[in-house]
Amino acid sequence: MTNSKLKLGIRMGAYGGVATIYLCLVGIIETFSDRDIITGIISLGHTLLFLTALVTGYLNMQQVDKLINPAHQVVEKAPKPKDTIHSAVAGIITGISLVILVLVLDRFNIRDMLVNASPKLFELLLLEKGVTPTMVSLLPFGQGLAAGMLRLVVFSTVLGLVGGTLYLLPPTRRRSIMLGIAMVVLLGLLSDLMRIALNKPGWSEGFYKLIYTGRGLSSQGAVITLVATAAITSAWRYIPDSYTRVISVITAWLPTWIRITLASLLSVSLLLRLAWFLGIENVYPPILPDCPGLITSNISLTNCTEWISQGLSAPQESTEGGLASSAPAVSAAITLADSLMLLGIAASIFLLLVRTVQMSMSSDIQKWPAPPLQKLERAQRLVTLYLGVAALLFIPGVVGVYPSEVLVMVGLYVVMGLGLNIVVGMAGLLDLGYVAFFAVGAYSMAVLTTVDASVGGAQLSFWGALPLVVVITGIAGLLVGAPVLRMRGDYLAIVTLGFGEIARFLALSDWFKPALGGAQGIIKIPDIHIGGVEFVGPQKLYYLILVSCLIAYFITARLKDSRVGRAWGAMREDEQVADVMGVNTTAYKLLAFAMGALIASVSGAIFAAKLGTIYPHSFNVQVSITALGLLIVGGIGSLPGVVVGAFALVGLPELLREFSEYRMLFYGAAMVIMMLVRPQGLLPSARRGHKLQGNERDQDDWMRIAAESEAAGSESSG
Amino acid sequence: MQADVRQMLKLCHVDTHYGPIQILRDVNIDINMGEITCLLGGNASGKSTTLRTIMGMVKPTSGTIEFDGERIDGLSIQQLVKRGISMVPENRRIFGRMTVRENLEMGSFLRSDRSGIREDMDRVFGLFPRLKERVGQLGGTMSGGEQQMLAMARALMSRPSLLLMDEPSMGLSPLFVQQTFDIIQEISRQGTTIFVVEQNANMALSIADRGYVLQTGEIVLDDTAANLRENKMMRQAYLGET
Repeated sequence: MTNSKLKLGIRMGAYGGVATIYLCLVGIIETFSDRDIITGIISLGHTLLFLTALVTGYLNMQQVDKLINPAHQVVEKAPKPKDTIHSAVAGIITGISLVILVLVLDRFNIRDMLVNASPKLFELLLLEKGVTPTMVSLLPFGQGLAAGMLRLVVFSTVLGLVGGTLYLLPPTRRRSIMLGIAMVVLLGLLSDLMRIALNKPGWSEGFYKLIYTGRGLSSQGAVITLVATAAITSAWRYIPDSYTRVISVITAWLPTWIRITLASLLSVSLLLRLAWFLGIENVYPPILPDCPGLITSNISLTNCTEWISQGLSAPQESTEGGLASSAPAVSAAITLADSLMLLGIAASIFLLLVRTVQMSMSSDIQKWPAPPLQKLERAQRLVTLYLGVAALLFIPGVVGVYPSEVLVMVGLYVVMGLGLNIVVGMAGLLDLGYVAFFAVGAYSMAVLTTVDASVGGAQLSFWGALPLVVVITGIAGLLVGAPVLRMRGDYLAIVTLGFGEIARFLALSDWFKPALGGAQGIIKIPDIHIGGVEFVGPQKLYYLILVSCLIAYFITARLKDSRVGRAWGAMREDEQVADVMGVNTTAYKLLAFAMGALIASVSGAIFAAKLGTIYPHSFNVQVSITALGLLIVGGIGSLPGVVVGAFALVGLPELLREFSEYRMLFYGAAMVIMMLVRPQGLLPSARRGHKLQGNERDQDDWMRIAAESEAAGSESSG
Repeated sequence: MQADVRQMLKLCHVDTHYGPIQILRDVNIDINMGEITCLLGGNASGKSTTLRTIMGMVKPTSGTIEFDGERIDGLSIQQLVKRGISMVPENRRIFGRMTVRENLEMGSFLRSDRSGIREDMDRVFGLFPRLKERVGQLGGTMSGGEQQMLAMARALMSRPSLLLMDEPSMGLSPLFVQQTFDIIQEISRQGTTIFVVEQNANMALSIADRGYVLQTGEIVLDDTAANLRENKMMRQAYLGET
């Protein structure tokens, strides 16, 4: 047994070594070393290097566990602390692999073949670069090749050991440590985004300066993150309870009129801010108060009055017509609503405090009695909905321009994903040319609205054109659907892939150049207006996309539970039998293609209006692949999965733009890992989550029971 | 047997081709109302094709099919289901990722009379109490026997007057085969005409009123079930006697 455990350690170590050498030679370590995770302590490159050793140790312990205790049944057989030695072995092997790489880099010039085997990589591996001089002086073994190699081996071994130990920790503690590390890495990665979001006058600036340096997390920021994550993860299971409890106290003990007044004041304030934000260009909205006392908890009246008076006399930079001219009035109204709301909150807290005091004084009233369950549930739903809507509405103002742009891209893909989910997830028709519908939507919007006289000429507004666009794309869906009606599976995928490319080439062709502009595309597509509000810039487009997402989500959710959804489901499962049940599979297939197409067309139309100019090259096969990929990552057929998948496959890469050369590499790796580790997707629909083979034991039981009852029956009759 | 039997389904000189290959040759089958009729035959004799031809999944190249005195060859499957023909496909083929209830709802896909559907749901739950217990379970997680029941229940949900069954005993243990045939008899007693295609000739003839034997696409024997059981050729070829 020991022998096989040792072998396992060596094998896992070799895997880890190959993985790290690969990361080094692909150039990831070097590129990533320019990005700090914790400034002055560790760069992203080194984090990746060390994480590999850590993960190797962890996975090795997992394998050891599987080896000695296959079914997780016997507690005595579970791996013990001394087994971490094998994780250390795995770490050593990983370290030795790196040492071999260092030696090769030192002796031979392999740069002709592997361009990334640069001197910088060499120095990074020896930990002589990528860390601050103070860190270098703190590192053990000093400088030089031999010392560096020793250091590599020792570090890997220790990390392997740590990884193994991590596996042996009780699950709650393990989870909080792993989440803590993940949060540090994530926050370090998102430091640019955080700078945009937080580094602006007010309390957020102080927070930002505490956690971040200019380039990454500060060391105290890292410690705070770790501690906070640990605290939150350990408190996590109490949070839903306390949420319910707070709501139950409020519903039971605050007079109704206070609750209604507070809610309406909050709504008024939020809506006014929204109107402000949408109606007035280039004025930053008075997003939540800079009232200093609110954060430091010593609410002093002078501070707040000062803030209120500032609010009243605030931003009047814009002197444009329309909504903008009413800016001071809106601002005053917002401030008034806010102050009233604060007063109301203070009053309700006071009321509840009085109540608490009363309770502690007299012994007749013991506890907060809970309100009736139904009322409580309704209140909770309302509050959650309210908070959710408020959060969704205020994201763009809070996060700033660039993250809003990312959200807009994510939103466009969410709409597309929801449409593709109808075709692939519900109807089971594997469509690899989905970009065609996105392109038809974008192009028909462009042709119908452009003010460039050389193409088009209809010069409709966005809203005038939208119904036409939807109809045109729906018809395109039927046209694509009709020839492929008799195809299934792989054949369908190949043919639709072809259709996707055909759409792009048609747009590129000289033949259609007078209408579609050829390679130059179509320019001067006007912006989207609603009344006096112009949807320019990602922060405002966000709202448009949000509404489209919600509508698409609503439509697909309703379809899923409808007769049509069931017919699609049956068709996906077994087309012939669906036919025998009386499902007109031809019609339903066409319907699926058309529905998918017209949802994609909305996404395409907004895309065209957003950019103002479209080229055929925007509509390549990668759009289709991404749309399909986000379904797979999220879980095919699951609607929340579409949203999660879009954030993972569109949002994350947008945020990590500077690593875009490795984008496809990560993308592929993520796909492979998904298929191996979690083939049902991140948020599978309940149905797919079931394992069909899982109930075999159950079936055998039934056979036995049936046989027994049969035997009993024949005995009693005989 | 009664003298005033009414014909429900009538196949007249039906030929069916798959491309250039002829599968059925001049097939004549009469199915009487209220009876159980069985079609026997070995592998590749054309049994399933006969059912597929009746169900409109393949069009006959010549000949006519009449249902309740009207020609139905050339009609779409949906029209046939609406007229009251329903089929239990070979190998059960239930919808594995749908629950039992959803499977049954698919069976009544073309109907819109909610109360009638609820009645029929109760009726099939009466026939198959096992399904009622498992109404929320995914079809694919059930055993072969349960799936066979679900397939039959699903076919009954369209309230058919003629039920076509393709090899209901295939792949089932002897115990379940017995149960399945008991239920077929029960369905027949409740007034549904049944046409069952089987390899298990013993079993089929034990419940059928009338039988046909198909060999390489041609009907070679055609008699009452009782006579077929006594038929010498039948006994040797299909009933396992030497």
